[in-house]
Amino acid sequence: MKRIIVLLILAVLTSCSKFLEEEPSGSLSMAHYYKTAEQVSAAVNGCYEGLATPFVENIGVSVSPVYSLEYITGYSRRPRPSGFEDDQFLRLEKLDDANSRLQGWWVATYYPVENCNSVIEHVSVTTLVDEVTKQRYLGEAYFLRAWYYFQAVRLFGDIPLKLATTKDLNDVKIRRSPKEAVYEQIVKDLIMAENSGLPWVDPSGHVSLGAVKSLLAKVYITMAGYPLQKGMPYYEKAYTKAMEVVDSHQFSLFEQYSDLRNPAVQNTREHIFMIQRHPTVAVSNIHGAYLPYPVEPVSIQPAYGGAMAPTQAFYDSYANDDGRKQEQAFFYTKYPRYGYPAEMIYFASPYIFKFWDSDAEKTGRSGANFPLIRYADVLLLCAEAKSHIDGGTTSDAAAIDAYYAVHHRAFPTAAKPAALDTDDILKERYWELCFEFQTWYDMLRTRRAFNVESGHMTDLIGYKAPNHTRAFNVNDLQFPLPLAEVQKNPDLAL
Amino acid sequence: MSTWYMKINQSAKRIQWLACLVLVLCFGIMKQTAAQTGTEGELQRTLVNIQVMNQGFDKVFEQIEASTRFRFVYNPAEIAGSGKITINKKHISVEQVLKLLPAVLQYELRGRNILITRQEKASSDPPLTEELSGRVTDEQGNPLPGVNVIVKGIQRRVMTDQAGGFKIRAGPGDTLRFRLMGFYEEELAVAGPISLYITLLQKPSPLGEVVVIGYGTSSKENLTTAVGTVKGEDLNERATTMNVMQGLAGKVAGVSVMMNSGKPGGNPIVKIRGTGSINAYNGPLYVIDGIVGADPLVIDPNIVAAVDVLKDAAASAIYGSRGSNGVIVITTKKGGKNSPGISFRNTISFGTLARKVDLMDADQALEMFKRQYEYLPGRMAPHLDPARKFPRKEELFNADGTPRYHTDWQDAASRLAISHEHALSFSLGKDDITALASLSYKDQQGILINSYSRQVNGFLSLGWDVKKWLHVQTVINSGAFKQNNVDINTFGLNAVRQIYEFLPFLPVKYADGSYSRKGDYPGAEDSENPVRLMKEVQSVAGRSYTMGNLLATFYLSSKLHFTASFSGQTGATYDLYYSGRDIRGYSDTQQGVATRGHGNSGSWTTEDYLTWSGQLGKHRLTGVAGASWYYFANMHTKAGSEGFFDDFFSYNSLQTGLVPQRPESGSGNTAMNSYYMRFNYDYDNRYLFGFSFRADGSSRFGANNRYGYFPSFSAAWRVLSNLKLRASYGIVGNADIGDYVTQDKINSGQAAFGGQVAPSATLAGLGNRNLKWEKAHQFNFGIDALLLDGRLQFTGDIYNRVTKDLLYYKLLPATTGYAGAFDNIGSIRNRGLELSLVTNNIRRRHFSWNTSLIYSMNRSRVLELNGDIMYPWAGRIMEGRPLNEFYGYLRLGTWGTDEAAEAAVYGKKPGDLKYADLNNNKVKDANDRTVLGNGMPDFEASMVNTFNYRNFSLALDLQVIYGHSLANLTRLIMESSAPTTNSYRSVLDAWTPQHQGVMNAALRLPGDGLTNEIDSYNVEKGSFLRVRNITLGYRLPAGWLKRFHLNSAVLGISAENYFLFTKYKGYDPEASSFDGDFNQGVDLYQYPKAKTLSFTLNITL
Repeated sequence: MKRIIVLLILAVLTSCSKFLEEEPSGSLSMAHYYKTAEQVSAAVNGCYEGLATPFVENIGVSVSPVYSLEYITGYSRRPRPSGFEDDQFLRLEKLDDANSRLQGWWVATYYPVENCNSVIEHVSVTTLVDEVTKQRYLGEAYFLRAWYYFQAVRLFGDIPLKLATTKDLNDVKIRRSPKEAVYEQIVKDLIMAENSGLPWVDPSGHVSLGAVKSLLAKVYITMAGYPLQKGMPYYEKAYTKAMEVVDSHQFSLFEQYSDLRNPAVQNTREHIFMIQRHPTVAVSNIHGAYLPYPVEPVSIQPAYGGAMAPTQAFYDSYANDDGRKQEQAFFYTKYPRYGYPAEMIYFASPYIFKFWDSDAEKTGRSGANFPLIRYADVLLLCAEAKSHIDGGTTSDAAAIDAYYAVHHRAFPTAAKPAALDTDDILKERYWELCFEFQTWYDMLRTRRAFNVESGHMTDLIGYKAPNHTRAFNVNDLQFPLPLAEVQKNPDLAL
Repeated sequence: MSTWYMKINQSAKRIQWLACLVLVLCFGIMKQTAAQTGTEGELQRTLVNIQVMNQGFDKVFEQIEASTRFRFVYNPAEIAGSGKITINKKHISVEQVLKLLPAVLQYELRGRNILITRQEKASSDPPLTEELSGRVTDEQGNPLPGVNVIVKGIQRRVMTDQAGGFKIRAGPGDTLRFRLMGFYEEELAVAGPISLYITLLQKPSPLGEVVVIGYGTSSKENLTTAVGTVKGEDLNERATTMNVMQGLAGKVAGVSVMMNSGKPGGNPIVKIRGTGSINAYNGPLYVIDGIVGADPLVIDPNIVAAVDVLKDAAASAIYGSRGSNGVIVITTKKGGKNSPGISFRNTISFGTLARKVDLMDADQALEMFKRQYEYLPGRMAPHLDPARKFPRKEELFNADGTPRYHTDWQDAASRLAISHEHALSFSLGKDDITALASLSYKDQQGILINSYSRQVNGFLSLGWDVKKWLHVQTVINSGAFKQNNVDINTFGLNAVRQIYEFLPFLPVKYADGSYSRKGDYPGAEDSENPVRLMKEVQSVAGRSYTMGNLLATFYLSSKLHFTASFSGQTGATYDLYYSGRDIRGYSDTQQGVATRGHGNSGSWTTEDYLTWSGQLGKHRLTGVAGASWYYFANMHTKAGSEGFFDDFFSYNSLQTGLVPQRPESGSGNTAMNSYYMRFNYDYDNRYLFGFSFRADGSSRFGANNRYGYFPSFSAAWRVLSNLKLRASYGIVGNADIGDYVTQDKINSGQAAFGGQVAPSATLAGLGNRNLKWEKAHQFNFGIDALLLDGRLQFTGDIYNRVTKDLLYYKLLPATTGYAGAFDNIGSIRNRGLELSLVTNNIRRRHFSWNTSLIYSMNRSRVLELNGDIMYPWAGRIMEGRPLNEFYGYLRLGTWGTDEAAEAAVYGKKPGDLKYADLNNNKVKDANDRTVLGNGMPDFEASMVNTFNYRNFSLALDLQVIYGHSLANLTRLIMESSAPTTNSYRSVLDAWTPQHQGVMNAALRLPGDGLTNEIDSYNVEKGSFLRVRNITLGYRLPAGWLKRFHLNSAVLGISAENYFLFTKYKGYDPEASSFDGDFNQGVDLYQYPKAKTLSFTLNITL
């Protein structure tokens, strides 16, 4: 018996060496990744995820970082109060560096950048896909990396420029690069994308050559203005790039504003680049967030909206015959109560109808894409660049045509102007691109504001916007670095 | 030859214990070993100083006992009659002292016990007596050496030998008396020339208790570490105890059991000596019948014999790997020769809402809305505005705007909860086999409509002495559990939240039979009413489980045995949910939502170890060495669909829904491998030493650091027989993080492109191959004392526990692309004090009064945390500060009319909230936040007084938690200045121009601008005194029971949670709405607690 026991004891003391090795089955790890063509494709698709990150809802009803870009312009209000963090933007209080919206923007930049870096590193050396596909994948990743950096450099100024993946979690400190360097890299990435063989348009919503050139035009015109002030050569570049888009004849304006939200024409014509949505896989919260509050429900979604609405002053700045101001074009002031079509609900002040999703009205799930680059934007940009080149006023036919296309849609009876000055074009941008999260960037790069009361363009510094408690000053033009990030990486403050 | 079995009636025999024998045994009986050789010499070698002036010999014995290991056994009456003595001598050997005894007193050495007997030389034995033989054992059948066997009347006595055997001359008519310290005295009339088999019942004497210490047992008096023990019957003292953790509440100093919810089956949060980890699991490790890492919820408290809580590191280090937050060892009952054959426990209880929160009634709620609208001139509340039409306006309001319905939603949504519990068990001890079978059923209703928790549990335990050298013990426990949750979706508009927030001027149902919705009042936040939600939303969760263990012990020699065990657990869980086509905010947009999740898990463990014990002279050594393997695997699936044409299908026909939800599934596994050893050494029963060492490997750690090493040291010194000092130091580990965190992780999901779905993958985690064990280093110092003849039993411990190399999810700068990664960073210190005192205040023949008092305090501090600052709910974690701190703004009150200019600096108006500008920069910013309180208390205490009078017993259980705060987020949300729901009554104490200097801002509509954030007003002190339980028991008279062939029957009535004294404004100040480790005291619409009246009937036969 004792021998058996001894054997038993020996048996239990002999360990099998594989016993403690773990092999996850539910998720991939780096060791298993970039091994097939399908994996590479999925990784490229993953780079797009960050486009929607600023729209992700925080704790709180209809609270997302993205609205801060409209709140800070002073032209919008938030019908449903959400507390001091949004109030700091809404009222133009001093931005507290602990404000989590800042952190939200930081994260929405660098998490997706890491994915782009990973794709660029791995796809550059891959042999799993053919060369044409490989270049296009890289083009998408370069474009998206440029997109994310362009977003952050405009908001924060000097930021860390990280172009390689993180390998060591103890080597995480990084200093900021001057904004010039960041812009340089953005341009470099976009030129890589431009030469990667992407098609002019992509109805699936992937990055297209049209998107690359449009973004490049936007980058150039931004570099021409504040804060780099590179001036004329960059207005030239912007104009050239915008004209390439125009001359491609791949894009056109929709005839009616309702097509801006028509699911049948997404990713085509006017929509050069969009956040891709889906009613179950990638649900948009814009429809719900923009619902009027507090009134009886006008959509199956309970009346939990109230994220954003125009201030009355901004709404009033539209001419009464502006097509965009007409009921259910960009705005609405009444709607039938949900489930009671005969009962009209009148709102005390106008709400945004621009992105109304009539499917979501009934299903509660919005799969509506959201525009990131519109052809109207490129057209106005083209005209604006040219007006600068021409010394503030242009009579260039192409520039006037570009402007007029946008203006004419709003005022079908308006005659084509013979000359345009920059302010006319800028004002058109406010009206056309309102609440698409573009306006603040325009205000930053031009340091001009649209004085809605007077109807004239004015200097941004010193202008008190309708919803603000004070006028802009120079300190408002850059978001502070998020406190938590500085705490985690003190080198950031250097 | 026949054998007598004796049943012992404890209370009847207890009185006789007052008789003269004072037996002082310094050790557990088993430890009184056979080394008689050696002690004879010791008698000569041991020198003492004796100073006695004309006193009895007992004084001499006392002085010898005080300075030596020798203990005297004698009958004081005999000694008192044997004259007096005067000695004043130094350095005299014990043997010499004994020789000074008068001739009539004889001494005999038994181990280190010196038996003093008085023997008259002339005594002559009665001729008829013969030599009787017998054996004395304890309840478990272990032989009891050193038992005094006395022939009553003639004082002839012998002592049992090592095997418990004795021989004595006695005959029919004589009565034998059996005495042993720590056991109830026993008498037996000799009937004839037979062999006697006597079982002595152990007294519930604390120092004689056997405690489980991991891979073995120890007597409490022999313990060098901090272990708290709770007996099974104490675990079930409160009638509503559903599980072992609930039963532990208030029973062991240093074990905090927070009953955070009144929900049936709600699981308490158990913490031993504070919180030691940040991102790894903070709960204790549970060991059930040797199954390490077992789930305590699967064990019915009725079948628990004892729970031992290993608190200090030296105690838990033998479970080194996962014991860093303490170990709770649960031992189930075994069948026994003396246990009642059948026992039947029944409880029926009636619960009602213990306490109401102070919400507004219908008129007050309407007054609130009126004032909100009138914040700006020209506005009128909808119910007062004749021009404002809305559906049901006429049904809800009279023409003058007064309400027509008055609903108290706390009444409407709660009920008399009737719960019952039955447990039947059979026990057997026969020949070589002991068995216990138990079946129990519990049905606990919640006080909120439709909430319940049910559990059925079967248990079988078998022990078999297969051979002389082989004992086999096996346990099978299996059962099923089911509950309906009404508090799902905490952040949303859940049913419990609606009890607080639903408007009191709305009816449960309108006259036409339809349920009211909150949005029926224009401008109010829309939601279903709580009654409808509780009745119509189904969220049923359940599980079935089986746990089995087979353990074989091989007795290789008298000193060495080998134990091999194999155990396994399986479990299946389900989670079913359906919300109907018309439930606003839940499923109306989706036209019904059904989901079901199913999970399976299985694990096996094998433990094999050798135990050796031996003695040489005064040296005794016990050693244990072994190894274990553990493997756990689980998998889960979840599916759902939406768009049902009929609510009939509920969650039972997902294919009926038109829109499928994305299915989910996952799996994981963990493996561990350990080697361990422990040595206990004592010298002369006076100096005790312990050492343990364990090496643990876990699959969760990086290949570079898979094994961790956990040593511990402990020592104790028995200064006197009833005073022991203990000290220990040890290192214990923690591996309780998620699976696969040392590996990189890529999230795979779906992206949409052009309305089509495509695969997408993103980086989700950065692995850390160097990740290693978190280690808690703990020092403990303790005192055990037994004073006043055992009437006062005291245990005190102080400890310092520093958890180092935390398994910390280090926050990474976003520029890395990751939120964080697991790394071994930081340390946390917990230090504290634990006292427990048990006193027998009164011990009379028919009346006794006992008090048990426990006190514990713990102070935590984050010593190091990579400089990170984290902000959990309403809190902050940072270096140099305690854990569980609440953090936010300091509300000073409201701006007054005369402060308008100053208010304007902050962008505020009179009537707005006024906050302290702590850094005085004229802006309210993050730096104005400050510490507002702490979720963990300054101390916790409980006191149980037990009174026994004849057949009655009365127990009074008081609980105190002092000094903690709660972040009352319920109030934060509800008592804002612009509620769109019902609110606390105090919201009406809001600022008006006529009523200034108040804490609440002027009432207004949400669009008028409001501030609503965590501040000092919402962080409330939570100190309380609770009369946790009052139980009255009545033991039916034995004579009467005999007629029904019952052994015993006890009737009980208990009142739980009937009295609570606190200033806290929520339902209950012992609360947390989250399970997280740093959310203690965060109260977000807590499920209210019940006060419960229970009736129990326990029968044995």
